[in-house]
Amino acid sequence: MSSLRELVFPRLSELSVSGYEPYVNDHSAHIDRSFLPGVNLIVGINGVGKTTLLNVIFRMLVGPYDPAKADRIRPGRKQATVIRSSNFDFFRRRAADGAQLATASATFRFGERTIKITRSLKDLTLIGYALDGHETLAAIDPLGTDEELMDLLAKLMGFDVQRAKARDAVSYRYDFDFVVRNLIFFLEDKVPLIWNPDGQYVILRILLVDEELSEDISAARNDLLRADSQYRNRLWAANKIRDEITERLAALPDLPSEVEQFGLVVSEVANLTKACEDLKEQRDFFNREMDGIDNAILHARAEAFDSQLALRREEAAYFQQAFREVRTPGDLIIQALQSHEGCLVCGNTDESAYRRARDLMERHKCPVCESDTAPPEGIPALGDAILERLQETERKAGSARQLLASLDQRSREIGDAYRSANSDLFETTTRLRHAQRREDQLATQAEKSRLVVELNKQLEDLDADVAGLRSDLDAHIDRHAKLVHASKTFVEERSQAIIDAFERYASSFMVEDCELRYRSDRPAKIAQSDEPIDWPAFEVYLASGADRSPTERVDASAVSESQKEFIDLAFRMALLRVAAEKRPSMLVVETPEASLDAFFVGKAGALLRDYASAEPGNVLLASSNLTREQMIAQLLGTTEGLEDPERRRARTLNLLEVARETKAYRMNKGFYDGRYEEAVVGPLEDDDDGSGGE
Amino acid sequence: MEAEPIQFGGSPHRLQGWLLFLLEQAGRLGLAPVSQERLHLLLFYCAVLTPVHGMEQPVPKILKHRDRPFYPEAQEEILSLVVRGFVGTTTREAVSDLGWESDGYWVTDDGLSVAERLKATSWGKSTSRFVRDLVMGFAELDPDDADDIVEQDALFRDDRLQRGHIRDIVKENQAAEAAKLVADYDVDGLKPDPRDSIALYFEFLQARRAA
Repeated sequence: MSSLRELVFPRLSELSVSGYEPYVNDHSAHIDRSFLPGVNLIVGINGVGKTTLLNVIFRMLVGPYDPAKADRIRPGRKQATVIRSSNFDFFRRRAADGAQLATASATFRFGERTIKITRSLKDLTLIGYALDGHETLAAIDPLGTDEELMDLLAKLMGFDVQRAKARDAVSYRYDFDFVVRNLIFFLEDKVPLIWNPDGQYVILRILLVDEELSEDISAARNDLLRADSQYRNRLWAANKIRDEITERLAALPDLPSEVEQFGLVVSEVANLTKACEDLKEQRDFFNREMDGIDNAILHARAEAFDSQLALRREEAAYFQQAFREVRTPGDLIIQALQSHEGCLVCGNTDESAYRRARDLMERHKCPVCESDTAPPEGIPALGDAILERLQETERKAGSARQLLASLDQRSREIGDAYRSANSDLFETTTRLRHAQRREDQLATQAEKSRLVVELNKQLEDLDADVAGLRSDLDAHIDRHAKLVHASKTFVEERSQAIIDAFERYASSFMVEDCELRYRSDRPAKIAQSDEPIDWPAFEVYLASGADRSPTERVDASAVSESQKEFIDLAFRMALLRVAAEKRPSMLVVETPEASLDAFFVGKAGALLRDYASAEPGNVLLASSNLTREQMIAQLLGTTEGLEDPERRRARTLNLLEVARETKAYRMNKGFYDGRYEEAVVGPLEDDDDGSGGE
Repeated sequence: MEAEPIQFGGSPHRLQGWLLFLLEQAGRLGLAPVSQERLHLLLFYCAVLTPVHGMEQPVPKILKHRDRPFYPEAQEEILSLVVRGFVGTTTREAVSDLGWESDGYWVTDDGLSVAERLKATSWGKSTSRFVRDLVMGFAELDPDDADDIVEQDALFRDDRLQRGHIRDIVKENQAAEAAKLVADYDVDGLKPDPRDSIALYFEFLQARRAA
């Protein structure tokens, strides 16, 4: 069996309240009391301030710190954390003067150590504390000192604060508060642990589970709750956004293909625009080239024309020369006259004409005009020179033609290229215009479609976000479940001791057989988005009807108020007994008789007295009304007379003596004083209950 | 040699060259004396086929005279050649007679000497070669109908060309288009050479006539 955590429980030893209006009367301006080991009672009547005083004691320990509101209503339900109330007004509201100057101071024993805590009752601001007589004043930094004090109190209770802080575990503050609030103080607004599985597990964890594991569970639980809350909040927001998006999507056409088409058309337009620019540039280039070539062609044509004319001239001259060289016209005239064809001009066939012509020819004279025709001597044959000149001209004309031809060819090529570019440009421009028209048409649709895509993307992002949080949450759930599972061993080891203690307490005041059973598989979930896991838990079984063996598990609604109260009290006492082992502890019970049938009062008194005396040093602090129910006498053991009356008186704080006088007390002073004496000292000889006019 | 950029067509000295080359070649192939009608016919073939071979046309316009082509300016030049003794003629009359005709022409030795001289020029060289191919093609034809195949020629087949009408063949030359088709007609990836293409054209006309 693992060693149990040695928690040290605070026990009240002294209390003083001063300047607090509810406890000021003509005779007394303050309360100043010592508390004895064993039973201590705060007695009074309705409205005299019993509850307030128990709360003063309670608040001296926990200060103005509280768990989350939901956790107060159902302990163990929410995050394991305490929050400081910035303006604590519980006591202020109960004082006519606003408790401006009221202070309270309480001394507690934690084992061998004592701590005295002083707070303002106006708002619980810490005034100071004294540990084993060493005073620390909070004047300079009340808040910081209060935090220190809280750590100190947790440390005194046995939490390894230093180690916890090193591990960033802060649950000891909540755990300390939980022990004080839900185990030690059994006040009227208490939440029964036996009927509240969440709270039950928390107290089991604090009391029984290894401290480090306990811290881990607490932290894991906090993380889980935080993750759960985050997840749910995000899920809620996501669902809201999803609804909006879905609504918007429903109003939009489902056109993913339009977007695709639009994308294609956009890139087509871009490509065609680029192509058009390129073709235009090409065309302009060819156009410039053509201009250049046209000019060159014009020049070349002029040159070719000139050279051609020259050629014709030279050629004609050469041809004429060729004919002349072969046969001169003079020869023709002679031939015609000789052959009796007669004169080529007039047809005269006379012989003298022939002779005259031949004579003239022989003398190198023209037979027609008689001019001199003899060529100058020494001049070379004219024909060759003309031929050479002609051939030179032919070469020139040839190269001029060649140049022109090549320019023409180039012009045709460029012209073809120009026309091709132009026709391509025309075609491309047409296609571009079509594409632009389609782009315009698709743009509107695509805008909507883009929105659809965008919204769908948003949905995906939302889902991913939520899924991320969910997986985070799942990791926390998993870790927490494993830790809870590991904690079962610790609870299970002590379960029988708790069951035995419970049975002992329960049997003393229950007629029915009441049994506590342990189970390690009570299904419950701690957050909203998790699945139930198995928890270690104690459940109450009652015998029903004639069947005497307890078989029926019961919940709080199935038992009477008295039973409910006592089952829970018995459970707490059992827990305290097991957790404290042989160490002294304290139990603070508010008006135990309040919900008890008269039959149970005696039993309850005996039970509580039994607790008070179970360990030397145990402190039972109860408040009780001065009624005829005998609860006070039962608690003090007045009837048995185990202590002398003064000792019993020392165990009681009669608020009627110190509190502001109430109307009821004024009217029935004798009755209440009589009741007090009867309860503390013993039954009076002359019972004067009739004078009270109850 | 590329065609000349400007078609002078029918320039008198070149026309005399054409006539001398035609008569020279006809003489060589045994076609002399060449009747006036055939001489004009050969000149016509020269006119319609020269564009196919990238050459200058001897005469730019065709006159349809008695169902045959006739070129008055060429007739002037032939008379000049006859008068100067470069071309012989079967009928010799006085220059003063107007519009006389001859049964046949042939080139004289002086004409041959002149033709040789003209071949020394670039124009003379290419023109004489073309004329040689053309007359050789013509000489291959059946002598009986050689003069008549012109009726199958695209220009002469054209009903729009009436007697006495003149057609500017620089502007419109269906015969050249037909000849071009023949010249570009390739057999087994080979196109006919210039001489073959001319011969093929004559064969084409003859085949049409036969059909």
